[in-house]
Amino acid sequence: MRIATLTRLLALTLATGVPSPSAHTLRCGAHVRINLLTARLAEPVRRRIECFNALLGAGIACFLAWHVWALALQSLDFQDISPGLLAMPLWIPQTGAAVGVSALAMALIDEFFWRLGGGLSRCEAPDELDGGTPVA
Amino acid sequence: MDSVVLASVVLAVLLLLLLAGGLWIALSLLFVAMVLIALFTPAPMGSLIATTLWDSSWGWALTALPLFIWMGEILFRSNLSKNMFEGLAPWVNRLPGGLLHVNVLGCGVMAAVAGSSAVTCATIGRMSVPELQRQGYPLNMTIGTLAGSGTLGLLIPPSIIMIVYGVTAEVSIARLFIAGVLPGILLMMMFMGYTAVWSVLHADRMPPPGAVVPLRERIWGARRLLPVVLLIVTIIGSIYGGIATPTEAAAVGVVGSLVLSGLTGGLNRRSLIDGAMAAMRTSCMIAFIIACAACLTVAVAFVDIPRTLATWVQGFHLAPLALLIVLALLMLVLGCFLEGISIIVLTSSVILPMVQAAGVDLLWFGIFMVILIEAAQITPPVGFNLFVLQSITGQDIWTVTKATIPFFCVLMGLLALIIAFPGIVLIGPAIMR
Repeated sequence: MRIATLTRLLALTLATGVPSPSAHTLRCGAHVRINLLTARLAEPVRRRIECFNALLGAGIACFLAWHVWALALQSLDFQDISPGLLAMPLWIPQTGAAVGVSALAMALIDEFFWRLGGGLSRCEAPDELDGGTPVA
Repeated sequence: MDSVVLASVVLAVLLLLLLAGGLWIALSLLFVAMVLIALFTPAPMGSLIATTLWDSSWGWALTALPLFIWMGEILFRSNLSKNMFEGLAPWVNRLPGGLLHVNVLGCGVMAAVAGSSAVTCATIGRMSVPELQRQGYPLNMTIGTLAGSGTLGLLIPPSIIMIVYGVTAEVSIARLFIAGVLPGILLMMMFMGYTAVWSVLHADRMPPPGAVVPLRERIWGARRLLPVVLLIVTIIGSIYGGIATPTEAAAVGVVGSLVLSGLTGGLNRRSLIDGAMAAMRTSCMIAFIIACAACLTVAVAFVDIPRTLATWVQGFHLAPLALLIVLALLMLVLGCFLEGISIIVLTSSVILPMVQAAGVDLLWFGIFMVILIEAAQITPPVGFNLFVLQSITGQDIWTVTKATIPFFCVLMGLLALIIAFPGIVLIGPAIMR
């Protein structure tokens, strides 16, 4: 019984935890994208495409943030609680999720202006698989 | 009907454009879902998306994911890989194929604990390639065994990709894990068998076998590996015996790996924080993709694409085998350009209903898909294991690919085996509990 409640709590924490570090994850380049084509383009063209991507991404994230905030407010209004013994008011984890999505939106807007101003993309993954100098 | 066709075209074209243009995969899925709902259904798009995103991100099945990833990160940062070579080498150096088997077994052990196949490949490769080259083993076999068995991690539980499949296909993760054990062991034996046969046939290119090491010294050399193997067996065993859910087993795994790396050294404040942060980023990335893919699944279901497509495919009266072959080819092509998790979430919303309609068991299909994704890791131009080996060995992609082809064929052999004998996959879950 206690374990089941713990798992529920963990699941709710995770739900908050999924979007919360999203901005940090973006900046660390851990959000995957396919740069097979864009990486081969010349810098001016590439910058335009990546600006567009950041702008579109920011638009999506803003839209999403608006509706997740709406969802959290709605849960507060109706006093929704999580199923099971834990019975946590749902607006608590949902607020966490909303803050996370908002942070992601801000990170994307920031990336757009940074890239527009001529800065190099800050969403590239550090090449952690790079074997360094060949050993054979 | 016409609007379904139009929606399918919009789905395919828009998704392709966004992905090729380098928009983040999760956001591409989300955007396409939004467009489909807004254009082709009367549903209130914003609140539907928000609710779906929320519902899919707090499912308890997903809770095993960050724990298993963290466990892998802890062990990855411990001294495990350094001990791997000296621990395994004395056991295999008299077999035909000699130390090449260290690659297969080492990757097997490393793969069971680390989630990513590219990381497995890099860790074992960086340690074994210089040693194998020094002893005069042929380079093509060194590369091939590493690339092939680097993919084992997807099949041997605990496997991140199986959690992703289990969550998207609504199949029990515990049963998926158990279903992967037998094919995983079989695949390791097939890799080792191929290596042995090759080295008997090409005896002139192999170095002489090493000296015999007494049993006591072998066990002493493997003393640091045994606890890790024990940890893996405990995790799989407790899931198999029904004692623990995957989430509980993962929590035990995290504690166990903390104790292990604490005892063998390599655990300090820095590596603990680094591991936790890396695990958080990876989990965030995967969970975000899964949640966005759930939105796309809802969207295509609203537009009625899966049912229409399934009816259309049924119109051809394909035998299940022909359907499986077509799907396998499709996934191999996708695998040339995408990595595993994206393949699952991209195809599941459309393919799974179709497969289910054809009467294929979704549990079995999960293993079928995992093997295809393993193959995707070693198909050019985008195959992460190939990139890793390219950078470790300094060879060009063509040499690496050529060395990997036989192991790709072994994988296809396994695929044929599980199609011919589905029991290999299904017997484990059947006798479970």
